[in-house]
Amino acid sequence: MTADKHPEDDIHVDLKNRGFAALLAWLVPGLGHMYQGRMSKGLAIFVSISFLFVVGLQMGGGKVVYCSFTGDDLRWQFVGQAFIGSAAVPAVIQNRVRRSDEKPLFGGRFAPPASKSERTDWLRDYHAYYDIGTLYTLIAGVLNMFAIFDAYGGPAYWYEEYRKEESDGKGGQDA
Amino acid sequence: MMNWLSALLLFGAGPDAISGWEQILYLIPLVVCSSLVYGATRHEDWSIIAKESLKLAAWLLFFTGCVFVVVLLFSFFN
Repeated sequence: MTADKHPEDDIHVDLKNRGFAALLAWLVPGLGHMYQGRMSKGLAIFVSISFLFVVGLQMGGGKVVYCSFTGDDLRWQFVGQAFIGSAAVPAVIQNRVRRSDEKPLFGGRFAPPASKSERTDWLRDYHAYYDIGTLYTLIAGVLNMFAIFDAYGGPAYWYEEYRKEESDGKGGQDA
Repeated sequence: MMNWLSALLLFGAGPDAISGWEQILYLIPLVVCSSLVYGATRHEDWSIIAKESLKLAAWLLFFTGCVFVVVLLFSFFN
């Protein structure tokens, strides 16, 4: 039984150092792909994810991405947002600074609110756009998770093709 | 306080001035970017990426449309 030839079968992608590529993809969306020479794909990923992230961040006045896992403010959305490393790292630093009662760095960007009332002020000022901004940045982070996997292991269809070949009984090279 | 870019993104008005219908417009960039990135992470050839992205965008719009209709129906009984 022969599987039909896939139009992408002839495309060879050199993933280079895939761990390093995944790290770059985590730090800046699309950078890992550019390192692997997949420039157009890297650029598309960079533009799409950065657009969503920056627009979302601005819609919420720059206050929608922060790290806080206290009983008062359990920011679960940060788990998704953290897949964009260039935002996650300063957010984690800001959280540590805030918890040690010091003045936040970077002009307060990515810093958790100092109190419940400050967060209430943010919600009042930005209304529904605080939620839309949170959603945009969360989706941007989750999309970057896919991009990190792609930088590490290549396009997902390869794996499907591999499984199809396995089920057709022609995938075991050393059998 | 809103900065200038936030104000621009909110069509120059305060958040309270935007109606629920206008908020739906914010779905468009979300669908475009999501389908493009998802398609790009599954394929390598741009013609296939474009085809898959269009398919996914249509599916996302259909799915969110269904959710919208269900929520709208519930709102009538609220």
